[in-house]
Amino acid sequence: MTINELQMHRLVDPTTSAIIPEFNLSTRLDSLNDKKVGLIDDAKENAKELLEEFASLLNENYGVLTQYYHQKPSAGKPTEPDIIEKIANECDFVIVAIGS
Amino acid sequence: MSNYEIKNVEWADVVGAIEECYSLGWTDGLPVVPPVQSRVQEFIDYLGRDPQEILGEVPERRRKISVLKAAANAVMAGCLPEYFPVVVAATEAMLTSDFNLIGPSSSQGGAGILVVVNGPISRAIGMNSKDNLFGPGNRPNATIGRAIRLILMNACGSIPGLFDRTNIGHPGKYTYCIAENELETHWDPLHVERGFKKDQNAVTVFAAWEPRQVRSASEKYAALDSLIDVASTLGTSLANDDSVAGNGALVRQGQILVTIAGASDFWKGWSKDDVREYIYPKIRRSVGDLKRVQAISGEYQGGDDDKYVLLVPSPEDILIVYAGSPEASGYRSAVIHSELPKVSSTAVTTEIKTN
Repeated sequence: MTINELQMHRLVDPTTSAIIPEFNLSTRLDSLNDKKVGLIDDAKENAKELLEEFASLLNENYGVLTQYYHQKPSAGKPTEPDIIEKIANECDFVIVAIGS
Repeated sequence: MSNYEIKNVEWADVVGAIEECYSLGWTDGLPVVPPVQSRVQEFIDYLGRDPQEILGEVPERRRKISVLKAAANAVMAGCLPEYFPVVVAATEAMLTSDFNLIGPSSSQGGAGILVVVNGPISRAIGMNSKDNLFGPGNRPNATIGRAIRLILMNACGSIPGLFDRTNIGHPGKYTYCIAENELETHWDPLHVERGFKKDQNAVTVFAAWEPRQVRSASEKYAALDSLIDVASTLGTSLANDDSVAGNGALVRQGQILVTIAGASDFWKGWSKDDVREYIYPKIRRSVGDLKRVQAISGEYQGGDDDKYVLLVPSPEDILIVYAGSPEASGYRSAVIHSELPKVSSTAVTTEIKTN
């Protein structure tokens, strides 16, 4: 039996890597006082209840106003880009609830 | 082909070549054909498209999938170059926003991507649409479906345990591809029902659970009533309100695909629409049953056993494929549930472009 020698072969890499575009983080908020919040509900159980409780506490303690409430049609569907843009334009911060 | 897409790998024999691919983490657990540059080039030449052309993206994972990456995975799956246009079309279809790949490729539900091939190409490349429909033994069925899984794992980031969070899954996650038996039925093929011409080649992708085989007597109503019972069972991806609860939807309501065969005259006088019309209103479950197993929330109330919830949103959401053994003793069909509600993922049909 002969032993074959190692030979070099060129393989096409079948994998991809994440290409992450450059981005800037938003400026951090100094305080929550009288800010506007956007709420995103992922449509899983209890997400709505959790967000309502948060909104109520934030309003009570900091005067935070709920500017925008978005409920996704289903947890598996990403929030539409135009809604993200609207929230970014109209709100100071956003809370996303992942229900269960 | 730029050098950054090439890996120089050493091996001495065929076993060494296969083992190198395991070491590189490129396989689905089974041996693959090493994607040597010359073989990948054959696939690209056959397709006649730019290797850097982007077939689609998985935006949530920041991945772009090129013709080149699809070709490398199709080679590894064991495809022939003439199957590659089907793989490319299926890849394009599953990267559309209606299909919403991020859902079925990450969900705990464990979807396979069922690929249904229609048109003359299915016969030209020798696909199986009859006996052993979802079983082994046919190269294009096995390798086209496998190529899709390898593209998902290698190019789309659907790596088990990382972004693929499947709890259980099913064997169709290795390969899940069939053709329709278009020549032995008077029924319109799936792609014709979905807007294509009979002589066009098209592929339909569907994010789905396993095929539930149905055995019944060889009589139309017996066959359909048995199929309805299986489709309506508790414990499926559709008979619960998970992920849609906040919307006031009672259940997830999604598409189903059924494979129906039988001798060519078995369905004489019936169209696919007739089948849909009969089964659609009966694929349902009572509110009482759903509440008893906590598939939907709420206290059980008197009368719940008389209230029914439809599990499929409309008759058009029942996809019918004439396939399976045409000569069975007794009657066989299969029911396949969508993994997700229709608002999250729908079946997508795309033309297969060939030179």
